[in-house]
Amino acid sequence: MKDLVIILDFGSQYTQLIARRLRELMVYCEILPYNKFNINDKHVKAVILSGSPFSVLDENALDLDLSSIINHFPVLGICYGAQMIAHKYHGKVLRSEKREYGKAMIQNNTDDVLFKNLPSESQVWMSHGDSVEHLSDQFEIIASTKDIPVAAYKSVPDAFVYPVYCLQFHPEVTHSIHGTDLLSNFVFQVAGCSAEWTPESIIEESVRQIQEKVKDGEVLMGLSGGVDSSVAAMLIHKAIGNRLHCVFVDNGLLRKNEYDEVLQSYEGLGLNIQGVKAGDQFLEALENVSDPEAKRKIIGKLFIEIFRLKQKIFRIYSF
Amino acid sequence: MIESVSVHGPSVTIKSHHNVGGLPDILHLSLVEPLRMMFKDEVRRVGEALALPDILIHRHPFPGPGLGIRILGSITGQKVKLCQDADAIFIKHLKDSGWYHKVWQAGAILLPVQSVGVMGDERTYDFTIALRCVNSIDGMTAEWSHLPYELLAKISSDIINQVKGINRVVYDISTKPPATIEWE
Repeated sequence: MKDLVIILDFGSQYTQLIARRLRELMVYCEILPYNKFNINDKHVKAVILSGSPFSVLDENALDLDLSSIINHFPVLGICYGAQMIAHKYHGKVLRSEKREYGKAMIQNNTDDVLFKNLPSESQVWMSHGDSVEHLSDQFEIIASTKDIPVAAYKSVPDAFVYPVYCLQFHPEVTHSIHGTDLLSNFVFQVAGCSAEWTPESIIEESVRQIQEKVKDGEVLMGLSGGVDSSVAAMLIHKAIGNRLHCVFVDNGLLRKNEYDEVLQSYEGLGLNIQGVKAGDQFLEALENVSDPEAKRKIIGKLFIEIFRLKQKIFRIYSF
Repeated sequence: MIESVSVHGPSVTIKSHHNVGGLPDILHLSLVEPLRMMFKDEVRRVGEALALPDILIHRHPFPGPGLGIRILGSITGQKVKLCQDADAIFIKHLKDSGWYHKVWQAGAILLPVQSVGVMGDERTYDFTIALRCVNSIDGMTAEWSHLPYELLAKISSDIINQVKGINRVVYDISTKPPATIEWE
């Protein structure tokens, strides 16, 4: 298992982008709801707290017991995450009159490792309502903007077991010109992660996990001809060979000639594939149905029925 | 899965994800999800490393319910045929012009709207096709593709001339968000 960075999601529209940036750095990360983190996962190398549409000053603000992560892992708080850390560790967070939204220039006048290879001034993306007014003596400011004195801060040496970094801005957004460099410095320099999330390692890891899960069982799989199901089929086939049974259903709602074209393109890959022509069945069930969710449900249900039939034919039961 | 991972957290799900319905209990099966934590571009890179044929790796994403959610409103065999024929013309033009691989996803949407037209000396009252074509890195945000006017003109005239039952073609110029890539 690879080094893992956990991103705790407090509902920011940018949370996915944090994950994207880390994956681009070839670091494996997972996004978890802010309250679903298992501290005992041995592979976790660092934790990132996302932004949020909430304010830490709201009565119903999303709350996390920070003692469950600080002192256990290096932590990076972004926007809301940063404000929550300041707020809970005796700093002062103020509600600003107006939201700061857009580009800003940060000045960093420290030689902190977070700014390694960064110019002393760089453009960042701000999107916040609250600001940090002051920090307790466990933290020090490491970057400022013209309007925001406390734009980035970190824990002073020995304040905690592992360093805690906080950014008021969003390094994950491409408008933060050196944002990926900042994240890179955090995961590699601060947290000591390795860049090992490559296609080859993904394959190796997936094959291992599939074998572990399936053991000597059989797998029934629906193929669509798309890249996702094709790659999934190849991975499972690599892991368990002919114990993978693929079904490709013509639901009558495929593209023109797609049924034949897809079956053709799978030839030579060694997969066990069975085609099922069920167009009439689907069209009949969909007659006079116009609500989109209802259509989705009917189509989904019919797929399941066809699978159920195949399951009996292949004698696949739970493992 | 990546897209709907926040289902249990504070972010709101926009619509039920095409592939992530979970498995109904009646099947008594366990779930194997090798791509659960991968982004689409990572899936493609893995596909390349697995030596999958190009045509499978670079096929545009296509929703699980298929044309079922590209034919707005109720579905009939005749509407499926209209949508398929228009879609095939659209995709063929994208491939011939080299645009297919420059865009993330494209398809024809059959609108439940009939409008008046004139074909030769005849008045028509036929359906409308909306062309959807977007650029995206991972499907989570998308920009409508700036296809050349000449190409759009050719696609439109071929669809209207060759697909009997369509007399109007429009181009969708909405980004995701706030619109979605698919219409339903």
